Amino acid sequence: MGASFETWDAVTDAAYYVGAGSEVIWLAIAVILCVVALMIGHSHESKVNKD
Amino acid sequence: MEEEVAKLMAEVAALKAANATGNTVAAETYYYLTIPLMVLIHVGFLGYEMGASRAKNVLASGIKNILAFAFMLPTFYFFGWWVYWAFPTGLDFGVGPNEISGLAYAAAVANPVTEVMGPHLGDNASGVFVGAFTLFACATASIMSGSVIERIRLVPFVVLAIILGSFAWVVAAAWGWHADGWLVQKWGYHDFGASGVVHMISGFFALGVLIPLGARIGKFNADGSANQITGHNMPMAMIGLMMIIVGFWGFLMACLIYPGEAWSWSATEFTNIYGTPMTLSALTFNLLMAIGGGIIGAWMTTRDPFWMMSAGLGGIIATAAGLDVYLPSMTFAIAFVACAFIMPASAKFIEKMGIDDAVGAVTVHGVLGAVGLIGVGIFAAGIPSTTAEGAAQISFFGQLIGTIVMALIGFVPGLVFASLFNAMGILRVSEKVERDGLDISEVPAVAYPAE
Repeated sequence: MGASFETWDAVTDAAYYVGAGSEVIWLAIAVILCVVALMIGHSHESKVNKD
Repeated sequence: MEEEVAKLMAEVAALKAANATGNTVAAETYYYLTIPLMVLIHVGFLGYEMGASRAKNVLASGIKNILAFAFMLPTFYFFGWWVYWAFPTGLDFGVGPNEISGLAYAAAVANPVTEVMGPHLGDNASGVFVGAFTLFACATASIMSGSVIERIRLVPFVVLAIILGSFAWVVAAAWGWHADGWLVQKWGYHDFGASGVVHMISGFFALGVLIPLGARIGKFNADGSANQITGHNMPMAMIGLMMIIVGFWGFLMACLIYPGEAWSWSATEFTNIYGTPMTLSALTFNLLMAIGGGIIGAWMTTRDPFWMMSAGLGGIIATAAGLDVYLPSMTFAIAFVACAFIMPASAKFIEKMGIDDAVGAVTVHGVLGAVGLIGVGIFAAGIPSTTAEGAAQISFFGQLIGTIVMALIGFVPGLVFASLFNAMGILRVSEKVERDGLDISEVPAVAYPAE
């Protein structure tokens, strides 16, 4: 993913980010983190709103 | 002699390259600067919404507003930008006449699992464009946010905000705020400053949510008459509204297309998003007159500082669709009339219908957004919608169709999803929480400590 960082000469007109794994994995992780945050938030709200 | 010519040619080539680099950096910086200006819109919405809340709900309202902003940032990156490029021709994911739309194009320019959606030395534009559009998305969510304060649950609200900000308004923008959009191509739809694709959508989405959500306890009496529920800090609300107006300079700045780049419509001059020529100077003339017209008009008929400040924004919204082509004095008059008469009449009507819109978002954004679209159909009819040969002309009928489409894209998903959450019993806080105040029940902090 992205350009090689062994030398900056290769980073011309190219992507230059780093990331262990692939774009798909990191996208999936980011989506899952959002969903988990919402689920925990929902759980907290449900407790608070129990009369 | 040949050597001198070759030397001159090399110098010309170097100058051209330097000029191109300068233009690219200037374009990148231009859009980059619109983003913090638009963040000021959210500073404003935050202050406005908290000020309009009672003291017992102020932090819960603030958290809700902040989360609407925060969840737009990743979700627009995940799929909102893709929607904008995939949907212009309708629901068929086709390719429009400018060939900048459709599934293949969206996959090429807006796919978050490819190299185009990250740091890239060959692309100085995608990041700042995504940033500007993301802030438009944040604005839609914040518009809805104010209307539902003091009784909606946080998580369903966030989900509704994502549906509005990262999908519904983006579909509308693809259809009516994109040179390949079917509303533009077929009906000559014109909406320079997003009266329809941002404001109307958000106002009508809010209306769709407010119907199943219901009014705050104490808003309406048994005989249907309404009580005024005053926010705990109206000066904060007024300053917030003024801050939103400041941010709209960035919002409208981002509605122009910078010249001279591969993605520009023109090599030499600014255009609007449809590719027709305009200038920042033209925008400035009209924007100033819109703000002035709105505030003065509302002062004349309401004397209410809250509505006067709302009308500064309302004046922009009621004219935004035509701010690129209007005569400034006419802009002033449209904004004045819209905010002096249509805005208070609409607010009164909505309240009479038993709908508790805490900050008047349905009126200011939904109804005045419709005024903005129809105004273009009346005053700018006959102007070609794009520079393409045989382009559809702006017309009253085309703008009317656009207005109906915008109302539906906003209202229907808002009503459907809010009704679904309501049926699940998760849309609204319990009566006890609402009476005690959302802060004491849900927020581990105190807004105004006694000591």
